[in-house]
Amino acid sequence: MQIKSVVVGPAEHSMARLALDLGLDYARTDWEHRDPKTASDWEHAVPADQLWWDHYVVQTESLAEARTLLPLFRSEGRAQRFVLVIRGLFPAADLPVWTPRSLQVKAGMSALTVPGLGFAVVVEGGKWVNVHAAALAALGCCSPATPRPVLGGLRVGISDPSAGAWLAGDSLGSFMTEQLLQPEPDDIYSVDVLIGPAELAQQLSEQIAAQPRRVTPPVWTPPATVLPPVDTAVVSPMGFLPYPDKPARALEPRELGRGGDLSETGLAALRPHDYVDVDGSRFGGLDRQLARRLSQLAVAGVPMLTRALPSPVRSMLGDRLVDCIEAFDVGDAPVVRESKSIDLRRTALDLYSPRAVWNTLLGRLGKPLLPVPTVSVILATRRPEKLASALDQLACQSWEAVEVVVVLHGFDPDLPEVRRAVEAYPGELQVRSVPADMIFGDVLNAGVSAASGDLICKMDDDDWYGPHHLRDLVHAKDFSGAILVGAQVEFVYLESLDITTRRPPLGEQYSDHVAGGTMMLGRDELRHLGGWRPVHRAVDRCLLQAVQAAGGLIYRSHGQNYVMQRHSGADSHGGHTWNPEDSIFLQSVAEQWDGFQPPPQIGPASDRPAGARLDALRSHFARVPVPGPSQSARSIQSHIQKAQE
Amino acid sequence: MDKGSHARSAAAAIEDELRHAGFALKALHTPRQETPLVRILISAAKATDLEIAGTVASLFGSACQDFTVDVLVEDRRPKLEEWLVTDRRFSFPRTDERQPAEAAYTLVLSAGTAIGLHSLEAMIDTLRQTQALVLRALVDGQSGAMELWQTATLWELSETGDPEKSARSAGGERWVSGNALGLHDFRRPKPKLHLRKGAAATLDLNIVVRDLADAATRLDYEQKIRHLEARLKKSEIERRRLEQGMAPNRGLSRARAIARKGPAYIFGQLKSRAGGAGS
Repeated sequence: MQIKSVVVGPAEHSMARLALDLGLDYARTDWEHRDPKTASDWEHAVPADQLWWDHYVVQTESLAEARTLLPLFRSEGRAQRFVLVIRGLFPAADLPVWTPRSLQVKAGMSALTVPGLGFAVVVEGGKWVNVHAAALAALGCCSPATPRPVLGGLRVGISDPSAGAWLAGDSLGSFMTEQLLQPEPDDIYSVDVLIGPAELAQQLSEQIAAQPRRVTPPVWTPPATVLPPVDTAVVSPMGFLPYPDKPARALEPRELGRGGDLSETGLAALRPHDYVDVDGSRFGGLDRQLARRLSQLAVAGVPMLTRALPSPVRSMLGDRLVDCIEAFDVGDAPVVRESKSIDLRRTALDLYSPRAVWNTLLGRLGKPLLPVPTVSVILATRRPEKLASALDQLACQSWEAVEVVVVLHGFDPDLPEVRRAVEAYPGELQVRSVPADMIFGDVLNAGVSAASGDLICKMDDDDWYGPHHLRDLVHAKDFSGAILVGAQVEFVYLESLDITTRRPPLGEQYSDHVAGGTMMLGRDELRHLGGWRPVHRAVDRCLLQAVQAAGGLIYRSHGQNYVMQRHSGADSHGGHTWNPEDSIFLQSVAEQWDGFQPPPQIGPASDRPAGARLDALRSHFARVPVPGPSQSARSIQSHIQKAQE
Repeated sequence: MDKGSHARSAAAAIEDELRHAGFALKALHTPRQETPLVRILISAAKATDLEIAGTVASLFGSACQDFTVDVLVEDRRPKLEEWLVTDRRFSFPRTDERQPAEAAYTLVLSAGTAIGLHSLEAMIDTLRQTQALVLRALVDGQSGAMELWQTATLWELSETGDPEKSARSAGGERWVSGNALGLHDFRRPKPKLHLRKGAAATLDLNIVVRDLADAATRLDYEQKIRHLEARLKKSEIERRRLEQGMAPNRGLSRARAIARKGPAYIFGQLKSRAGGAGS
């Protein structure tokens, strides 16, 4: 049976005709018609997750009508292609002002993927278009994230186009022509900092003398030993593959080009390889280009096998990063390879993200630093006995600007175990107590209302977190441009079986789901989304829906900072039994370990579970002697040894 | 050459010939040995007769019948024993009895667990593929877990005391979902077949029940159905083209459409027509 298509709209408009206009293959499938006014058209015999369509075409007479139809699509399943036709609407034809945003709307409508060529965007509006604004708009069509100033509003000018790397793609950066370097006497400089030769400082100092009240940007001349920032909108950990399928690939000197810069296509080509082999002795005279390339590969978390790195390269990169680069071993298990990559990307982002590099430079220039976001962790708990271990994990977090808001759900802060845990926590901590009958969404909102951090992070009291959990999420929030970041549930400890499983990791990517106990988003963003929904469960799912409904992005970071614990269930006699939902965690498993085996990023946890398998799930032969005599058994010792290796 | 190695080389030659003929045998598909392939222990100390019967009934439906079954009970089960008296593969030892374990694999199931048509094969395949020492599975609705061992492995590990402990410490235990092996509680429906969403969007499973008594139907039923479906699909496409005011694809435009589909399509069509004419 062939899959059908759907057309929504008034019956008087022929779908056959519309298909001709749109170039759709009308003849290929059978079509179902839905009338927005007929409720029965929207009822289905099967749930939405069993509805699949080829084309799903919606025709309306106005944008207003299209917006009213939106709720009807909630239970319409999935389609291979969705087409919305609003008759008579030409949204970008009549915009009064070409702002970057309106231009992006316009550009998005004309963006084309040309086979064999690439991506083309035409911005043409019948009015004069500012070229910079049009370029910014066109670039906005190339990435799912909204363009934003990566230097936090700092305006940097360059006097030589070859210094463009220092701007890291910042949309406020400028190439300073002679005209821009000499503004009118009553005008301001268009930048806050200038990158250029020392003579430029001399030129500007003469202008200071002429206009002493005007703020003059300091001039900074990059020394040959300092590397520029990495443009994290293009080169980032996004796309890392935990299980690559190709062997190591050598980095060739000819690949470095003039500046050693890595493109997004170059990075994508490296992702399927397990390692990039870098033999430093082959890069004579290319020290700066090699250091630049290694800094970019490090930010992207590309595992490398390096040999004979020249000392100028090591010096430019710094010992901390070189140690991470040289940590890889070709014999590493996939989980260890990934962990080392995470260490590498974290260190590289600490050193070479646009914000990190420019804060170092601004410090040298005596200018105010770009602000570092503060994080408020919301920890809601019903179990006083869990508080101490949860706070212990938070005390180990490497991100320093952390405030913890503990919400005690249904118990008193004067309980001795609560008081002890709170007193032992060395950082900033607020404690709120809410009644036991308060629904969970409101419990979280109570925590948020007490929080003061720029970012809110929800954490659970019974899961395990790596010490860099918050740092990695802050990095991800910064480079991904997503509203909400978090991690996938990859590592799960099944208490009843006493095993740890790893679900297939998908790598870092934009997603529609992250684990509830790892969600991080801006405090203001959360407020705009309406906070956590006041319901007793599924608050995380509702927040993810709200983010997507607002057109926001969700980014999934790596999963090695988080281990979920699946507790044993309790049977009717009060004893422990396996939780029926645990089967899900055995259905698709990439790796499996006996006992509690946290990933390398978490390391040996202080609060380890007891580690005893339920009696009912122990082997029959652990209770009953193995029957014998055996058949002429062939030796399996080698098999056991192999498994042990 | 001794007798045993001669037999092995003859078997290998026959299997090679079969493989060339497009009939590849899996490693577990071998002629019956003196000892069964699998020894199944049904853990049934506290189980009802119906639960035991549910497991046994599912074993009768298994594609693999090369097994013996020990139903491990605490008390006598006269009804069940009478039911199975004619089938010498079944015995009812007491839970603490030690029985000879002459089989390549040892499987432990809890009474009430039903296996699917190909579950035994799937279990053995999984044990081999994962190179595990023991395969374990949870079955929804069952309090115990399934376990499958190579009997030789089980025997050797038991020499050290607790074979489970040894397998675990060697990292040789592999847990899987019972659903993935077709295992289920006999009172519950069989596990559903899940397709990934991409495939589900494009695939439909057509289950055609054919009357095997009719030789002609057996030979060409599927071909006829496919032919009719193709004709119906074509006529619906024609109807929709007409609705759009487009001429039916005939003559030159039809030739162009065929040419666009490429040589593989053209040769495929010619081949099927040549085959159809001959039948």
